[in-house]
Amino acid sequence: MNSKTKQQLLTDALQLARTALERGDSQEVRRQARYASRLDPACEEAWLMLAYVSEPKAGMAYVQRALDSHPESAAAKEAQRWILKRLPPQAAERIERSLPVSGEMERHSHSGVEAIKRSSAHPVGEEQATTLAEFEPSRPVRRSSFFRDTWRAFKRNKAAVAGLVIVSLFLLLAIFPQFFTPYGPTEINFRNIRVPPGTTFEADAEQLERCHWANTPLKSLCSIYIAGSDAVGGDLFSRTVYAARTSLSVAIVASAVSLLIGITYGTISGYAGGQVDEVMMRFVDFLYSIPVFLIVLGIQSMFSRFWRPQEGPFAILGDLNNKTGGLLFLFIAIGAVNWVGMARLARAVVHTQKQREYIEAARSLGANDVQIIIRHLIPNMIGPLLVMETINIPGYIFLEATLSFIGLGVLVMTRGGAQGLNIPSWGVMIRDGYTGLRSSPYLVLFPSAALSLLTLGFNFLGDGLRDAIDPKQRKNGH
Amino acid sequence: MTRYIIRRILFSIPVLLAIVFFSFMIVKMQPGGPFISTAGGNSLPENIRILMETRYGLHRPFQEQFMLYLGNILKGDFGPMFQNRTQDVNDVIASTLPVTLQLGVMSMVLGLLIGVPSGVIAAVNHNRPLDYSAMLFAVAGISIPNLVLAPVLVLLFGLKLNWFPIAYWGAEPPFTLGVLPSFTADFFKHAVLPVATLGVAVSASVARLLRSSLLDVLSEDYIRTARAKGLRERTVLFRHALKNAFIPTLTILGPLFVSLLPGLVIVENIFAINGLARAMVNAVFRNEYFLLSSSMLVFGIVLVTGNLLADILYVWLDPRISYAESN
Repeated sequence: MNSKTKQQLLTDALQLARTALERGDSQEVRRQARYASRLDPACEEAWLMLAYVSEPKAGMAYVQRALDSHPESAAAKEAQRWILKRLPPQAAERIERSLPVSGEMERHSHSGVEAIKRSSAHPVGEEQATTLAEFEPSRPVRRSSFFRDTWRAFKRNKAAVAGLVIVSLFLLLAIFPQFFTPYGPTEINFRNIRVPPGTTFEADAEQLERCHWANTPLKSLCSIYIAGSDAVGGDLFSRTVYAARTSLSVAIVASAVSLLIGITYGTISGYAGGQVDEVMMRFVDFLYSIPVFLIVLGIQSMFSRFWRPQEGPFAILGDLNNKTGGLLFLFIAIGAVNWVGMARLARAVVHTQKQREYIEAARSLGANDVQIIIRHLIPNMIGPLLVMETINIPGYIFLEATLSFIGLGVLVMTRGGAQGLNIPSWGVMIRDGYTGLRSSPYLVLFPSAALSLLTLGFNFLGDGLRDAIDPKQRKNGH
Repeated sequence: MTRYIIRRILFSIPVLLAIVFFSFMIVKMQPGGPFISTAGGNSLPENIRILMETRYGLHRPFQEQFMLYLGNILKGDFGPMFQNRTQDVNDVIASTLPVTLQLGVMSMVLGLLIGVPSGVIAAVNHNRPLDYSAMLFAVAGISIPNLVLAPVLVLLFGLKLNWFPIAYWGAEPPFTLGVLPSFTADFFKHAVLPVATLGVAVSASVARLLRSSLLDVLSEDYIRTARAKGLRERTVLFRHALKNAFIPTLTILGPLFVSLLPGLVIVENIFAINGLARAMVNAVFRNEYFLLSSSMLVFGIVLVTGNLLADILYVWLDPRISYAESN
């Protein structure tokens, strides 16, 4: 691609935009026409094509750009008139777009096509013009990009925004816990074991030195157990906040792992097609029927109990796992079983997209398989896949907490011990606190509340995103 | 129909085989063994350990052990226990599996009993307070993990209000027909908290899905026709709409049943219920090779069968699906 001249690139982009316009793929038109207009800001056709696929307000701006370089252009003036016709007085009419096409609208859109025809260096055939005419008035033009559409629908959903806020808050806590907690997660104080929330204590000089808030106005909080203390006198509030790191890193890294495997597997399967596809998908069906928890339990019992390579080629993995407090193997185990759904979705997207004409067009322009996959197929699947991941994330968080609860999750070590990090996990905290439920319920309640709030946030976020990209769901409005 | 069922059953055989192989492989990768104390306790003398391992066939090569184990399973022998030698794995499964099944089935039933009416009420009162409160309950039910719900229920209804016992299962083997407990008041009293813990999540999923599919159906033309005919709203809802709205709900019953497993592990641990899920997890820590492999297999069979039954029910109920398709 690099060897092509600017002029060639421009012609290619315009050609792609024309085929996309003919097909009615306004997103592709935007992509290509915008590219063309960047290559040559004086290219009238690119601006006009953008104008025809944009909402009226933006469309007028695009026409203006075309008029800047070609002040006397009849095509641009025609486009201007076409857009003006579609402004507010007809807003009511636009709602009833699904009704049969009115004569007037058809005429105007025809003139729009004529405008493109005239401005185009390569005349558009009559046949193409009819298809465009059919497309233009009867189907609503998507006047904005996928992400902007999604965001607009998302913003209207209060629960979804609340979910986003909750998740962002937890992310903030997980990234900078030292700003939000008085102590680290590995504090021990045997004088204050299982004290109720709000208890004050005499922090000695050494403790004050470790206190994150020692030199801030919050200094007085250094000698209060905000949420009580646990069985070895650690500050429960700090530990609860630090444990958000465990849950969120599992959520993010396990998602990334499953996304990576799923996209690779699904794309190969869908793109190869035929026998390869058949065999690969049968394997996915097969994995799908094995209960996920059995696999994770198996993998984790192997990883966290039996498989601790001290030497040999995998020693570095074992070492890394110890250093991350057992998180590494959790990522692998959870990601390794959840890619199956991703692979199915990715494959479905590839399967439907690869037959479309713009792929054909890209190939005829000399793009190879890798370029087609990276430039066209993956961008098409990333939106739905990310939404699916968001919906799955509460499941990953549950799984981590459950595994940690039964002792097959994060590695639990003696606090402050030399064997590696002591990673607090809500699952472990609930298990430890459960034995003292009658006398000190807060030991269970604080991590429980945090865990529920985070999953609630992700559920709201995932539902909101799903509804935002799927208008059919939006109609029912949860 | 029969062909579809046979094909599904045949398809589940490699799945079960894979589960056996996978679980067997995992326990075999463990360094040490059931007769080597890893905790530094009383290890057996070397010659006795070898004798014991020979007795259980643990000295043979992996594939030989696996084939032996597979053959024994087909004969109905799941293998010995190492630490409690008065029982073998068959005994353990026979005493714990029914408890887990009772717990699981009761949770599914409770989930449907709560989920179906709340889904219907929410859909009928679309965008009214009843709808919002039902959906709030559903989102909360989905978002609150068993791990959180169980301690909270124990704290509230067990420790504070003292209404229900907070541990143990209300029935002991032997059971009628091997699975049915005696349905006494004591049994139900013990069952309330664990079943509620598991049932809430099920009911939340059912309610959400049923509501959304019922809303879809209610906007169909044939419902308008039914109303235009002058049918009573009740007839329209129960005769015409619900029948079709149930079908998508049926498809998630199988996956929901499968997803009970992690919940069962937690509930059996928290309520000290002597079920198979707890036995399976304990087997990991006690190096009970055969119990771990066998319980994974048994869970595989139960869950795969449950999923299969749900699918068959679905195909049977929805005449629009052509199961004869031979793809």
